[in-house]
Amino acid sequence: MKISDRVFGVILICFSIFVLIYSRSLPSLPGYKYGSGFFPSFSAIFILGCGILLLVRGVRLKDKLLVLGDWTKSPTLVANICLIPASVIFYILVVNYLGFVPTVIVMTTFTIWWLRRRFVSSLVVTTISAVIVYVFFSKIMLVPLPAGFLGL
Amino acid sequence: MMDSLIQAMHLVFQPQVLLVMLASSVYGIVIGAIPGLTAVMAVSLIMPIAIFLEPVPALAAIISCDAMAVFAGDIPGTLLRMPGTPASGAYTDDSYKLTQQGKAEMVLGANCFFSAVGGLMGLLVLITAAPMLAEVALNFSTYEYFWLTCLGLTCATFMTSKDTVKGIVSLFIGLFITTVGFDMITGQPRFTFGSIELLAGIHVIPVLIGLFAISEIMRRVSSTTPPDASYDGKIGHIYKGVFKLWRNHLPNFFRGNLVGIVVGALPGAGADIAAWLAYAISKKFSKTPEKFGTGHMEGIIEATSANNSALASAWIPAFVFGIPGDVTTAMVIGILYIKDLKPGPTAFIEHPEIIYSVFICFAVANIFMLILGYYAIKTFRHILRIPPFVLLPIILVFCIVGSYSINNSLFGVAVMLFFGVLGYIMEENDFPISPMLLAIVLGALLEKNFIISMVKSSGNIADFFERPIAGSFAAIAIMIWLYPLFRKLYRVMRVKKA
Repeated sequence: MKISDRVFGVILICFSIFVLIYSRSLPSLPGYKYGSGFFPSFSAIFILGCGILLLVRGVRLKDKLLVLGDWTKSPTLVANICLIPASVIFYILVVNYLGFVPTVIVMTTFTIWWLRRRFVSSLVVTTISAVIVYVFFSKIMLVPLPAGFLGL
Repeated sequence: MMDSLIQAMHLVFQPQVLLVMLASSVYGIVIGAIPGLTAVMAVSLIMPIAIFLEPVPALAAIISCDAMAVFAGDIPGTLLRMPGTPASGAYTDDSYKLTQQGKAEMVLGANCFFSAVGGLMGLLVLITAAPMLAEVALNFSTYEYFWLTCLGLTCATFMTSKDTVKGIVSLFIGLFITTVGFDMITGQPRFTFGSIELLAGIHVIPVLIGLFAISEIMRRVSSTTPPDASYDGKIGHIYKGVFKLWRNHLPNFFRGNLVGIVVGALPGAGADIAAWLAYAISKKFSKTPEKFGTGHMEGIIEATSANNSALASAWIPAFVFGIPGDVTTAMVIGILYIKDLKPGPTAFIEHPEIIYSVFICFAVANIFMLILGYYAIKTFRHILRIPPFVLLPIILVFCIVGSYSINNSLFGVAVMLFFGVLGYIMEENDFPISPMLLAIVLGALLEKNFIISMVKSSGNIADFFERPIAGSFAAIAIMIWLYPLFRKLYRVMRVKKA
């Protein structure tokens, strides 16, 4: 998925202007011209310069704003790629209610089933993995994984 | 020194440390041998576990995992023409052509043997060069560190970017990210927008898991080429004739190691660049360059030695100056800070046993490689049986737990997701991600050294150039910055003359 340098240029210019404005509100060290805002402003100036360069380059090249990759022609592959962030979002939203083990079992079983279309093996592999990860991190490494209403 | 060495041996030769090394080696081999899964990804996934280990087992796990993954990348490259890691990509064609000629055992034996010996050569340089450089570095002030950090970030940007402008963008976005949270000098919150989570800043571990693992998972599940691959051939005795091969290719072996050591020690470069450069140099100096790409051992020996020797030498700038030599050592520096073991020249005085432990771990990992490599090659077809579409969602669970465990907060998981998507978009559009990671690791150091230097010099910029070493670093850095401009001017002038 190729995005035009023009788009990146505009995004970077807007971002750097925002950082520059925000940095002006940060206080300086007493008696000096620089302080908390110096380093973000310094980064923003370079990002702004690169944004302008990318914008100019994109305008000169007159390339398309968006060139979709081969995978976008396949609805399955589009769903596959969306599934990864969707799984993480599902985890973030649900884990405190369901608990770590049930959330991982639901999330991973569905993901593997979607990718391979084999439900029983997905469920078995996922359950074993979830329990191993839970025991390793929660019981051995003592990471307080979200327990949920079941306490798992 | 002897006391520290004995103490280090006690620290390393503990059953639990050796067990951690063995487990991480096996894990590194599995990830490295699966085409598309990189050594960096393997190391980034081991980080959440390393954080909970004692310093020596944590470093031992990273060293073993990295060395094994880089070596194991050679196996699918040789047998299937699908390099497991980018570091193996340089000589994949030659290796595969030799496999087609029925010489798979010879190539794989050479891969394993020269990788292990290359790793040991890199270690030898690490042992000799690091303490000497550390003595010099003890005299460094904030000015030297400021320029050295600039130099490291510059090398990372210029060496890893096909498109310099995009490399610079990646670098400065990374530097900006380090400014989020409390400013350590003034205590002022920056870019937190009222979020309590953001006050502590953005932790490097969820960022790197996102950039390297989540983006890779997204790329793999949307790949248009089928992920399944298989190998049905049989592999015999891999070390048969390997010493004869060594004798016949001694110049290639030494040159490959030299290239690996030099490139590895450069901040920002790493095993991938070392392997490609060693292969190109080998071809340049070969009496039979026309044979390269058709199944020639010269390039394979030189590049496979280079990629593993680079792994050890990358630790030189990391240990001596606290400036990472590659992405893996950038992660190591993150771990060292978490463990309260500040890298830098004082580390050689304050905790030399940890430094010596790292040396010993490197040696042990490379010896493990000779043994485990043999079995890895023998069982390769079984590793390939692990369906990627089962493995990837499970890796995703590890990513989530790893990001969560940093602060026991779902905020880390959200950060990981954000940087995963960002890393995916960046790589799809030729923005390199290594400069961003190195900037996130080094940004705070750069800002701190700059502000302290400015306060020391009462705002006089000239002080940054007055000390001899600082001035030399500054000159090199400024020359690298201006090089593209001069090159462009030179071209314009040549065109005008013509």
